[in-house]
Amino acid sequence: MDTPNQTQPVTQQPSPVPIEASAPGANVVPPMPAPSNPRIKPEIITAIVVILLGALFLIANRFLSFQNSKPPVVIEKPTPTPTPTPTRLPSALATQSAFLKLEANGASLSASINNYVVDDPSLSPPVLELPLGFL
Amino acid sequence: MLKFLAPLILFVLFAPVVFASSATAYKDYLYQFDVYRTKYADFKVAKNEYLKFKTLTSQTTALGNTKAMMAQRDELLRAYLLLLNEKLNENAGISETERNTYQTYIRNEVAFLEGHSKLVESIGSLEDATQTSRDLESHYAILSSSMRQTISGISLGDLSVLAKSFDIALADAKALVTTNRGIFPPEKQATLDRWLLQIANVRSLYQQKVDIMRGYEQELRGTNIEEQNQRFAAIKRGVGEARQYLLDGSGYLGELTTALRYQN
Repeated sequence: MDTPNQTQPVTQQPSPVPIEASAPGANVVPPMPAPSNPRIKPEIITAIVVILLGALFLIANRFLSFQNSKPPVVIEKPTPTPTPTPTRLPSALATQSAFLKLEANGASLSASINNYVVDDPSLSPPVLELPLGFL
Repeated sequence: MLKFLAPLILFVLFAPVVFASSATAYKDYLYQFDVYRTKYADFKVAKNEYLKFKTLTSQTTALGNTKAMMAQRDELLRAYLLLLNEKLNENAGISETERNTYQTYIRNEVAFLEGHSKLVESIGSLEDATQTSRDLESHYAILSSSMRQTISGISLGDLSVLAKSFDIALADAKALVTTNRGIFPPEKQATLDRWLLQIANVRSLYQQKVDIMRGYEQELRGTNIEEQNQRFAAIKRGVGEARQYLLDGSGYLGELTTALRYQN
């Protein structure tokens, strides 16, 4: 059984739209207006990046050199306590004539041995070319 | 008083004369060497000219210069042997037996050179000159061994003088340490005894070295020039080593003297 006014048929045709007369050139769509936000040029962006990188480099270099130039830690060496030179007592022989004679002879002997020339140049024999070489 | 002064006066008067003999002989030797160098240079020029041109004139010049050079060569060798003779006379460390032996060698060589000079005077041709020069060349090994034995003897004689002074100083040190044995504490005394032992050891090493060198010196005779060169070089090295032993010993003697000076 059909229910009155419950459903409308799906295939209902839309009402026709009246066709209005249009002005000449009215079909051209006007261009969109330019966006109000200004664009930064790529060269300027590159320059800003380079400058920022350079600044970062300088700051890092400054920081590292500051780290290296820290004042060295001075370690104080302990100064040795000076000890007195031990005094040596002269023996009873030190003033005896026999000891003084030994001392003098020893010094003279050392000097003589030091002055002795092993290879005396005045004793070198003459070097001669003996064969005449005629035959 | 006079008998004590007389040897001193004689020594003061004659010692300069004795040492002046070897100085004079050395000056004469140097002069003869200069003359020989000049004559040898002239001989070489004349010889090269003759060998190049073979003319009669160049031959005559070469002969004259060759004779002059050979005569001067004999004169130079004689002057050198006389120098060695003077050095032998002055050397206080050589025994009389050794001195006589070396002076006999020198006399024999001087006699040979005098005979050779007479042969040089009678040279009449370049063939004669070559033959006469070969006489000297064949005798040169004996002449060289005589010279080198004498030089070795003189060096060992000089060392002997130093060794005598060393022995006197060592004997004095031993006497001093022995006589004053009770003065020092035992440790110090032991140190002094060790120094004396060290000095005696180095003296013994010196004597061993000198005895070996004397053996080498005897072996110079009868060898050729190359063997003589090697042995002579070994003798010179040995003399240097013996001197070093004496030097070490005198250093130890100095240490001993310093130790004796102080009580502690």
